[in-house]
Amino acid sequence: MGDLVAVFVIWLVAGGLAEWATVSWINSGPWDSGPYFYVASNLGTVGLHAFDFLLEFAVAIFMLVVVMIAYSAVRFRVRRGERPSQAPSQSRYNGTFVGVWIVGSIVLNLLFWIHPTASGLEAVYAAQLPQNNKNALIVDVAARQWEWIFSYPQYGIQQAVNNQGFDALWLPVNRPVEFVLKSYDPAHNYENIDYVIHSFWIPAFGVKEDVVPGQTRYLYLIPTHITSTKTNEMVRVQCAEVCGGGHPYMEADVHVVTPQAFAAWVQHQKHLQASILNLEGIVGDES
Amino acid sequence: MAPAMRGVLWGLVAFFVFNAATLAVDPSAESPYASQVSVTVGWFAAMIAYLLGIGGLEAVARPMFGLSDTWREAPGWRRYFGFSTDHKVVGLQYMLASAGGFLVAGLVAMAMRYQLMTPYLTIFGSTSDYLTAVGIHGTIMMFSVATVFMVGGLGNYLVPLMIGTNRTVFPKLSGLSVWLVPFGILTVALSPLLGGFTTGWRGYQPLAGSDTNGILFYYLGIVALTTSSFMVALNLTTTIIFRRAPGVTWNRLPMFAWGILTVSLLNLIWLPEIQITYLMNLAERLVPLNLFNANGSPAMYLDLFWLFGHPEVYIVVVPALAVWNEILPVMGKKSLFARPVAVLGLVFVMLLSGLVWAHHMFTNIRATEQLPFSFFTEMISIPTGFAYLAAIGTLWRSRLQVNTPTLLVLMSMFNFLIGGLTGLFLADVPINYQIHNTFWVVGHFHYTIIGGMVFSSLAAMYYWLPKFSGRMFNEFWGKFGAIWIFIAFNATFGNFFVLGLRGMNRWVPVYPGYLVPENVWTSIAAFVLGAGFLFHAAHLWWAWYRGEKADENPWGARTLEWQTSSPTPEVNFSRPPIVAANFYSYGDDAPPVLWAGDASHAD
Amino acid sequence: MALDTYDPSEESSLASRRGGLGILLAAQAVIPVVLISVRFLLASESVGPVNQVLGVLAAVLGLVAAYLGIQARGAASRGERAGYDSLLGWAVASAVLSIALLIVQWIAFYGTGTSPGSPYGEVFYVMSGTWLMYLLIAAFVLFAARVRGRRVAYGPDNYWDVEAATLFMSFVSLVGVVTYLFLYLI
Repeated sequence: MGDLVAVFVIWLVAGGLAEWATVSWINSGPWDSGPYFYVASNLGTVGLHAFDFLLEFAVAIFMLVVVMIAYSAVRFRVRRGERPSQAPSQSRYNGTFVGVWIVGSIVLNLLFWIHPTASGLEAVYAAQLPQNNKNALIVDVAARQWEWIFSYPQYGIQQAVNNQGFDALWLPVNRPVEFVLKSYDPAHNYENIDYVIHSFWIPAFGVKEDVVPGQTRYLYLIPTHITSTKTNEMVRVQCAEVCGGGHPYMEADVHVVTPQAFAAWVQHQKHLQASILNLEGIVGDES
Repeated sequence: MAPAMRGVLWGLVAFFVFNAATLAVDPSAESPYASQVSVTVGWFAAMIAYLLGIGGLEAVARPMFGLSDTWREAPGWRRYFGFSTDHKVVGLQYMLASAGGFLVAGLVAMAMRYQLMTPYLTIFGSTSDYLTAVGIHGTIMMFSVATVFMVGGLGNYLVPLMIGTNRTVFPKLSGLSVWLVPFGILTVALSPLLGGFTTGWRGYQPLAGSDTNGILFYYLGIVALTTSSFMVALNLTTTIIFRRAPGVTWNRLPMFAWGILTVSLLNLIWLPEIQITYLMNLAERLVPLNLFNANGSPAMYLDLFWLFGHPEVYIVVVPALAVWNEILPVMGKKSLFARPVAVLGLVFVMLLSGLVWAHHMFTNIRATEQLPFSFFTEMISIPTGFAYLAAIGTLWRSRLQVNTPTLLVLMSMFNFLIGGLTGLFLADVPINYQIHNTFWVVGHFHYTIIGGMVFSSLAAMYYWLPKFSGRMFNEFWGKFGAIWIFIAFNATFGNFFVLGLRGMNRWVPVYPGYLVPENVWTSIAAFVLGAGFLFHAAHLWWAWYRGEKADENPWGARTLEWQTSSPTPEVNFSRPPIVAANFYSYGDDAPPVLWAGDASHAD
Repeated sequence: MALDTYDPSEESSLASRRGGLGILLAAQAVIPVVLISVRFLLASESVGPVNQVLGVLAAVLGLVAAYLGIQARGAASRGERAGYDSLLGWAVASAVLSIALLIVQWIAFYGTGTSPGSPYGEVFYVMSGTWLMYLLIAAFVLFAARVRGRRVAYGPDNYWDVEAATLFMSFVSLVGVVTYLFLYLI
């Protein structure tokens, strides 16, 4: 009995310290992003809450098992100078221990599956319903080897680029976005044999979706904070599925801005696009 | 000429002859020296010629056609470099081949970690070269180390001893299969000759379709390595079913034999599945077909791969769980706790492992499929936990000798616990959306495989060293090495979780600058870890030849392998052992294992 | 406790070999299952321009080879040297003819202009190719059993080689029937 009490007390103390550290971690970072370090979307928040919940339980379970192992290894060891002998107790079964263990692990796993897994998925699915995304900004995303191409059909922007000509994703804050994800190459749309699987990932948004050749996928989310790649490099589009040699370079800058700044950016893009089209028109005339 | 030399020579000749012959008749050859078809034909011819040269000609091919078996094993250490029907020789050959794979793939890992110390390319010429390194590392580690060392190596050596028999049912099968391991390792390692491959160890389609021809050596190497594992599974399953000594009932079957039996069943079901998938991939390239590219079904390949791929990781770890409960009762001198629960745990892990594969595809599959797969994935932790239940129950109130094998087992339990608990996060779909394909995943599976399986393998090597060599390791240096790799391992792979959460994705030699400091620390720890493994190899090598002479049963164990002399004599048991009691019953009043009057020492 | 369960007599050794081969064949049955799933995933239930007669004949010849093998096993277990030799010879011939018919089918199918890259085309070549591969191995082991039988006399204590080859051929003939059903009919 004494050993059991000792294990329990050590677990309470060590586990309590570990939980205190865990809670401090959970409450750290901008907007309490904690273990996710930087979360700026509604879907990311769902994942983060699930993570925080599981982390608190996982730390407690981890400490319990480690304390049991470490306590046994120290307390029941053959000490220096002692001769090894048969253990005094040869108990081969203990219904209470086995029962508590098995029932406990089943209950915990069912709990984890109901919350946060099923409940979190409910939240994710609800966020994907079109009726919950009225007035969504549509962004067509084409993933090719190796580039993300963003177009905004509602604003007639064919390929959004920054001033250096690199692809860039601009989003207004707090407005739902509908990403329409396809894996194809607008410039070589006859070579569909070479299309591969990519994965559309914005680390700061806490979500990724695979982009599979021959399929169109939809992802709805709401950016919740004004930020940009310059503010934090987790705010970037990154390919998360290996897609060949250019995989590491398959990234793009992201800007989450105020609606006013977004409107100004749209005008700028239209202007930019018109000048490119004019340029192409001139070249076309000469040939 | 040594058989190994003869095999290599015949293999090379066959490769060039068949390669040239195919080129001569192939109208579509892409290059004057090698085409996809000619390389594939040459490779299969080389494999057959190599197996014949190793000794298959005299020992297998001749008797098959009714001629006499003229194979004679070389004496002394030379017998390890040729075909052998002795399960102990085969087991050691497997361990050596597997350790060779560990060295090759480990050096590749060191190069990868060196590359990752900077956010721009240094020692790799291109990102594709880096991806090839990732693929070679993963493929060799998975198919020639993780699934081979414990099953082909320890399994072949120990299972016949543990069940009290002198030979396996198909000794020639094992004699040949072990030689496919170096052949497969070499094939994968030589893939850069054909341009390498960028898909990593999973060979994802449709990317593999647009890869260079190096992917051929990935497919072919895996065909060789999985064939080897399949043959082992077949032989050991049959041996465990049919050749147990009298008294070794199913209720008394040792834990490690249970572990090998369950993984062998997994191997028997899932290896044919992945082999036909790889043969389809091969046909897709050679013909070509449209099975898995954008015109076919890319997602089908993912399903076919992970259908095998997830049972694969249980193939890796189930023997490790069994080894814990093999060693702890001996070192604690206490009866194994809740043995039926521990065995049921292994069996249920085996059964459930076929129902969880799509959790590798949460960002890919449709929403209706996410909940059931996350359900089974979370449930599989319950039978896995039974190994802990038995181990902790055994430790409780034991008389534990905290020596090197015990320490490594406890460390393995610690590491695997982290591996398992981090898997809980991956099984949760909303979290998976963020950490899938990041370094979190890489950390998770390295914790289960290195932390679980490699640490347990080292524990097993120290525990059974007196059995293999008749000599004892040095307790101080053994513990020193164990603590060394424990610290270095956790420093390396613990960092992976944080890296993953901070947005470090997989397969990138070039990454955003804010991740540099953490990567530098991780790499330094990884180099220390690599050195730690070399230290263990050197220590084991030294102990094998120069260690102190060990007693015949230095741990006072009850399982059958310790009931014959150490090192194991040529004939395991000169008289058949008859088992009359449980192997895991300790205590002063425990009945003797062997039936009285049947001392089975080989003297 | 009986020692004979440990020290294998020829009989218990034979039982373990039979058991092992049974495990091998059961494991190999995974392959047709995978191929049938792939067939429905890629080509649903469509059937291309295959020659039904050639398909039926190839499957039936496989069954014939297996039947002749079973007869040869009986002859070998009775030590009838001439009997098993000619039966094994005919079994090899049936298997080889089955292979030849499959190759003719390939040529005929290619001649219809169906691309190997079309959904039914790739399923056709993959499934019949696997069937062909199994037939080649089965023909080889039957042939080896026959050659061995000329040098080593089979008899009541020594007919495992014929039995193993026959069991494998029986498995392959079933693969052939299943392949025919799922590839040509459904």
